[in-house]
Amino acid sequence: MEKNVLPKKIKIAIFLMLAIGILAFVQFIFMISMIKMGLSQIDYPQYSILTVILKNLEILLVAILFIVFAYFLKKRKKWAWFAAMVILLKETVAGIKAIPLLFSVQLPHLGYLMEHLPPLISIFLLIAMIASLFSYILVLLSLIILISERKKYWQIAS
Amino acid sequence: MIYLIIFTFITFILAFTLKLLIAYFFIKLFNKEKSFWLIFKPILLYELGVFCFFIINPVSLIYFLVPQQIIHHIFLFPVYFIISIIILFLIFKFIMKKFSLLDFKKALFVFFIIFIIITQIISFSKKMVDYEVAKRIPASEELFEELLALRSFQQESYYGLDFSYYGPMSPDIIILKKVDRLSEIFLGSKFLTDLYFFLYSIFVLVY
Repeated sequence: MEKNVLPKKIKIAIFLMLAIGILAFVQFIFMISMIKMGLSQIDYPQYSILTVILKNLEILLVAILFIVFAYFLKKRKKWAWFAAMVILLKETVAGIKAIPLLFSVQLPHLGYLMEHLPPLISIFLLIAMIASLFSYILVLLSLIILISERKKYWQIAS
Repeated sequence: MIYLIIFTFITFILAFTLKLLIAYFFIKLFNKEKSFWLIFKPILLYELGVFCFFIINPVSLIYFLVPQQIIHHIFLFPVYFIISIIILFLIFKFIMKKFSLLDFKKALFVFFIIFIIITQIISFSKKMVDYEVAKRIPASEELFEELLALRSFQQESYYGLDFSYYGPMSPDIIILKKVDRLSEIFLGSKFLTDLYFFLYSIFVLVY
């Protein structure tokens, strides 16, 4: 193997992390739009856009961090591997903890919500749920690849 | 309100710096010949490790075993509490051993004194200072009212979903909560509450 060439699997993991970052960013935009539009439909106090952004700051931060770490992984930085592991593990643990909530609360009420919410918000809700499920699969995949290819990456990283 | 946020953040930075300095001087007692950076770097690494640990929070997965049952939380909390402290100590011990600063007994002693006792005193002092200042700000009355409203709202639900996330909150409260989260991680400000719940859980289990 040539010293400066990234292994193919690592390239896939970097691409997956980039995809997760973009998906999280899309999710952030959808969440903001959904909350702003959804709350205007029900009798509930309205938020300023700053409050909505602050409430969803974590998703935005995760999106930015995934893209930044993917960039530094491509630059063969050793610390980027550890940072990527931390954020991937965080997402994995958060995903596992969300499973009971998904099956006991969210999925049983999804049909009811789809019926009663305005069509545009229902579509947004569905897209946001599918995007989060899809990004969770990508998180698991990139985590597995980065762990299995760690020795190859450490050899070429600085 | 912006002054209260800045003040809370400044007290957090000061308290954290004080904690780092006390930890430095304590470790320096056992390593008089070592330079400043050789002692300070492991301490910073430990704090980074603690940050990563709380960000990932793997121990909270034990609640996944029996979700949404308060009685089970009382059984699981002692396990959660003890495992968390053991992992934090192992991170500390690993870093101290890696940098050849402290052996097991000394690491245990320093960990107990610095991160369990002194950090709690610093954290409690910070809380008291913040509270005394917050009381003197006229706008803080509205803030407390909003916090109370939020607490009562969290017990409600909407369409069977937990909508506490969408509870009434001003940007100021959100930022204050984020600074508070930093205090929880780096100053262990929730430790005393956790310790109280730990003892309570043990009491419930025994009787």
